[in-house]
Amino acid sequence: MRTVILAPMSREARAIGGDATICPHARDIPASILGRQAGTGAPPEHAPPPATLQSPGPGDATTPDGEAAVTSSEHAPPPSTVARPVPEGTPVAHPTIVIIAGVGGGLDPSLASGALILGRRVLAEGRPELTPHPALFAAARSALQAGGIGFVSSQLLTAARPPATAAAKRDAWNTFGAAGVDMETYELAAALESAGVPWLALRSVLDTAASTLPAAVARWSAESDERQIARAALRTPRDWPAYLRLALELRASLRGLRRGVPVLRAAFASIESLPAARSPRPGAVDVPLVGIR
Amino acid sequence: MGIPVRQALAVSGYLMKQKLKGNARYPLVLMLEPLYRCNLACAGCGKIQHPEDVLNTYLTPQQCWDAAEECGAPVVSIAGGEPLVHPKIDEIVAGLVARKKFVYLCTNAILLERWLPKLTPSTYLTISVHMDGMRELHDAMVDRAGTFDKAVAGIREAKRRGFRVSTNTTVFADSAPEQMGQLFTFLMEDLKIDGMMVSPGYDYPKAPNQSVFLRRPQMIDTFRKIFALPGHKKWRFFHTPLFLEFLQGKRAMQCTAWGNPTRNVFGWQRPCYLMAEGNVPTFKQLIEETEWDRYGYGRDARCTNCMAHCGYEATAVKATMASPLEGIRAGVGAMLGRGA
Repeated sequence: MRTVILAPMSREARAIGGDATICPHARDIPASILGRQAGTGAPPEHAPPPATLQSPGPGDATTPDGEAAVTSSEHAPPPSTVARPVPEGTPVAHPTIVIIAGVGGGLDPSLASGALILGRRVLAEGRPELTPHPALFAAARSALQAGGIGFVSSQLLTAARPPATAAAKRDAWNTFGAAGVDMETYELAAALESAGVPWLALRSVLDTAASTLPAAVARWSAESDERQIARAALRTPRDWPAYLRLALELRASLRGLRRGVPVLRAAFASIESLPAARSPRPGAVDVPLVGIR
Repeated sequence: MGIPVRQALAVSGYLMKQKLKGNARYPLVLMLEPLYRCNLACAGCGKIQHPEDVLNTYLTPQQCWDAAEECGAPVVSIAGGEPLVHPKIDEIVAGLVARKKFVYLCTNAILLERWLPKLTPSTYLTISVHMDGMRELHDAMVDRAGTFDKAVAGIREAKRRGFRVSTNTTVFADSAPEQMGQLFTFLMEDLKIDGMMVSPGYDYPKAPNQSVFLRRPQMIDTFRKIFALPGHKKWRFFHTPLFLEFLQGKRAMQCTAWGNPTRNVFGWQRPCYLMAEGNVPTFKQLIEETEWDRYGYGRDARCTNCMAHCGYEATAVKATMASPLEGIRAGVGAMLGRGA
């Protein structure tokens, strides 16, 4: 199976390596990954479950009954076959593993900047939790352990406006029990899950649970905001120590990504297929996430 | 008076030594379970559901002393089962005290008056009596009428004989904050105990009544209400101020599972006092071969509703040591028993 890295920001993509795809939103996920024509909009509502995921053959990957299924771009069939509906419950061959990798805010107070969080669950308030394919998760754990890479496997929270103060982080930690928080993972994972693409999330802690971000950084929502942040920083000398600390934390955080992602990529390169997963798709979890569960 | 000066100094010295040695993981309190046999079957207890042959297995005094030396923790909490059911508990305690371990002898106090003549008061020995509420609540939680009165009688007799006495209260779903406040005031003002310990109940899957457990947000809410009650400043706790703040949701903490290692009749329990994933024969194996990062809030579903002191007090102590200001605050708080 091929491994694709999705990184929300260009800085993260650069740290990870040249082949990482910058992808801040689900709509930016390349169609070749989702297995449908580019520009078809949102992921299919009734995508097939990530059942038996098999390594693609040299041509079109097919289900046991001969139906064409999604394949990688290297062996892409004509677009008309890519989006062909697959009956519910039919084992699907999908050739791509996606690693969603980036930096994030720390909520677990025991984690320092640069600590890696392997997402065992991805949470978003009021949405059903998402879990990566268990075999992929287990393979990632083993690979990081074998590579001597320190990490924790914990929950990751996605929020439109992540907590920026120590008090807000403490409350988010008490409520969700997520080790880290970011702005993208849930949306990306949900889109991939809907398309039956096995995914895994890895985040490196940027700002720790005990730290409070400068106000301008707390308002950050996209990379394009960075100029505004720089201007705000110049106008607020009292925040300079906080910016300096954040710059150092960013270095440590990107170093963490540089350590972790190649280990996962190398480990996943040898995966030929993944067994059937029983993990629920979005919307398939009966119990909504309300606070801590 | 809260924690004795000698204990505070000994524990501080031990922590400094660990820091100087560069030890990343070291025990603070040995949780010693010399037996699983108990004379009660409490609603929220998941410790005693074992076959008869296991319940009939007791650690020998020598095994207990060896465990204390092997682990090296300055404090030993003797739990179980009911330690006073052990026929040689006096010998075990005396041996640990002789080794200058600060011993907390946990008991439901049903047999306490019978054992007191065989125990010797010492700065190193604290009798820690299980008290989950005033009479009605306590007897309901331990599922036996008259236990509260026996515990109170045992505490009075222990105090009369010059023992240091503390209590250990588990807060459950049925523990109304006002009832807890009433209990704490009674323990401090009427029984004049030396200090108290308090912890939310852990949701043991094996506990006979699963409805008694609180979830984390409820725990935080309950503790906030308890510590907002009038008179709370007169309560003395054998906890760090940080731990009491953690219970009220004012501090973010991750569990330090290796801080309170457990030695039971099977060996060294992995990974912590509350979760049993098997046992290893040596303490070294426990520390070195356990995947500690797998456990903790957010990392393991079984830890979701755990705020127990056996996991978080060690974190609070570590955080206290890392900050001189917190150290001073904790030092004064511990001496005065003020906590939060």
